[in-house]
Amino acid sequence: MNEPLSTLEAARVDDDVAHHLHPNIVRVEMLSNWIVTGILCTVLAVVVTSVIIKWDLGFAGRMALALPAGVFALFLALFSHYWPAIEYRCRTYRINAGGIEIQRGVLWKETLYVPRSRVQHTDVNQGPIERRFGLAHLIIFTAGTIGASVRLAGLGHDDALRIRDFLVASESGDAV
Amino acid sequence: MPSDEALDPVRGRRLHPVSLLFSVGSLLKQLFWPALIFLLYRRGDGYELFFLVLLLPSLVIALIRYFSFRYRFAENELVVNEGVFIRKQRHIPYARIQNIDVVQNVAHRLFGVAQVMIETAGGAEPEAKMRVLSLQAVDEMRHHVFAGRTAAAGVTAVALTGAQVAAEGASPVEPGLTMARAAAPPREERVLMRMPLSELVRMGVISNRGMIVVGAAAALIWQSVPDETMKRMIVRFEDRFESWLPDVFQFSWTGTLLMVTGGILLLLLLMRLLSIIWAIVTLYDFTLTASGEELRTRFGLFTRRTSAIPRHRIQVLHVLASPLHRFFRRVCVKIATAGSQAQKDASAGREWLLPLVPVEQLGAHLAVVQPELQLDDCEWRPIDMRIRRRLGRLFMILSLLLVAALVPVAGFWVLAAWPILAGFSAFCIAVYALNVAYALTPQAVLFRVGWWERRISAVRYAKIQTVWLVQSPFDRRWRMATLIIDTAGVGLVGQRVAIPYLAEEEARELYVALSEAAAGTQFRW
Repeated sequence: MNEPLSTLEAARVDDDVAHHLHPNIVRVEMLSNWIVTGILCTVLAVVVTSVIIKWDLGFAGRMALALPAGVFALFLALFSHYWPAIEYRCRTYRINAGGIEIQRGVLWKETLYVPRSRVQHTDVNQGPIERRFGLAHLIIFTAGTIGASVRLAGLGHDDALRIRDFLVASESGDAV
Repeated sequence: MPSDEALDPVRGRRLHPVSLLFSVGSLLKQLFWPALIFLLYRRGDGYELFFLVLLLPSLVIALIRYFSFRYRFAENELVVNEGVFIRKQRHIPYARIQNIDVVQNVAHRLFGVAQVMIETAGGAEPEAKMRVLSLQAVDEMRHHVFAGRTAAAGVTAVALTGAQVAAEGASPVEPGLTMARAAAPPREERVLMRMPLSELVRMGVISNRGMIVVGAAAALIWQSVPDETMKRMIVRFEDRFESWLPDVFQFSWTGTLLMVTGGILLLLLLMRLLSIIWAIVTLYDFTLTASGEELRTRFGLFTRRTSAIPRHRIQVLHVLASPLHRFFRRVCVKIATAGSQAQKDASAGREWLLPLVPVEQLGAHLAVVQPELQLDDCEWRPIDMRIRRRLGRLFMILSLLLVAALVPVAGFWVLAAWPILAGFSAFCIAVYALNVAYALTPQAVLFRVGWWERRISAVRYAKIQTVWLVQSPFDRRWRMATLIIDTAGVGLVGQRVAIPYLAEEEARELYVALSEAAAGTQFRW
């Protein structure tokens, strides 16, 4: 929360430079991952413990149950902790006069371009955790099929609003 | 221009009075079987009258619906009012209307009326459903919507109500096309294509929709024949079959084989025959006409369907050819529109622009339908041919695994099948790779795919919504990428425009070019 809330220092939104998301997104995602992991691990622990208490499995049986569960929980925990930072490096956006380009994906990479003239409407939403860290996510709606809605998370709230204003401002004689 | 007048539900047009008859008719249809049973069991007790009382509420609702439904042509929009307790007023700007579909079943035709569906983009349901309008009103509707659109397109916003247009004829709008369209209802309509019976027969043979007919017939029988009769019929059929079956097995082995193949052939023939019937019933007298910007298809033997689609509302155009198409030297042209039913109701047939057209005439037709497209002399560019190595290697490994898995079951001689499998897949990959290509024309991007079932899809730059460059880990290893061109109204996966296995640099260049082309053109729905 100490970083400035804007990663778009320039006066113009359409600077045609690839920006990283706001660094706080790593913490936001870590936090929400941890919550999910916590719930999953609790459920797993309860199930495993109750099975062990209910049936007499012997030492080998207990290990055969507890060990995979433990490995799974460890994997979840590691994933929750490190994945957001790994993913962060692969996520950028770039805005030029024509529209917005979003890059994402660690293994399966995708780059997509939404021309400004194709934006139908936009949403700027804030979840509770995002609000705590001053972030917001922008959803861009187009008339397309697979790109009917394009989500860009991890923007400072002010940046999201500025980008939204930029994207929807081009209503010049649209759609007749 | 929301004036007080626009909010007044009393003004405006009603549906055709026959609408009442039709809503009662559909009520009766729903009540037919219960009513029949009721009347059969309560014969002569005077309960028939009581039964009619049940109809009353529905009748009242139908009456209310009829008398509360109004529509009005405002300057830039169509205004529909309905409801008494909950009043609903819907404003549909002409500029947002994607297409107007008109359906006329046999009963409608008897009364000279039609059901009209007005579609805007998005949403699962038509924006307005008018059941039913007189044919004259339908014409007027079309006229208003399409003339209204040109007026809304921003030449001169002259307030024209329907009566004014009809009475005064041309108003000071814009010379030329707009003038001709704003002038009078009987507009010049040019016939582009009409399918004669011979073409319909060909269509039936090619499209093989026999199963659809069988399915429809089965559903109909299932619904209309009472269960008991059905059971009895099935039982009797089983008896017959059992008494008949042993005779068959007294034949020699070859005799049986002959009979079975003969039976299969007969069945296939029957399917084709049914398919021909399907083609004739659905596409009878298929006519494609053009008047100004508007394309209109009209078809059907019993139920007549008319779709009016402005030319610029075509999102994607597909040219399809199966082996049978090629045998008859024909192609099929389909379109995707952004209207809501495009995905849900493929059988409505709006997607057909030219169901069957000789290959030689395709160019001439396209020149009228989509003048921006040139499918001839465009420079097709292939995908990355390293795909033969990449996929060939993959299939070699996969087939080896498959063969190895079979060794314990079938013995070591199975390994001999591996070169055959690998060779065959290499051949298939090569054929596939040779048939995937794309081309850039001044106003559109073309995509060609398939060897057995061939498809060419054309997307105008103005209709591109988003452009995607996608890379799987394997793609990155081989420095390749897939380019997806997203448009409105493309529901089925088989109709997407996704150019696979491009060399990475080429894919990036194409991505940039298409992004810029899309950003540089204004999207008109």
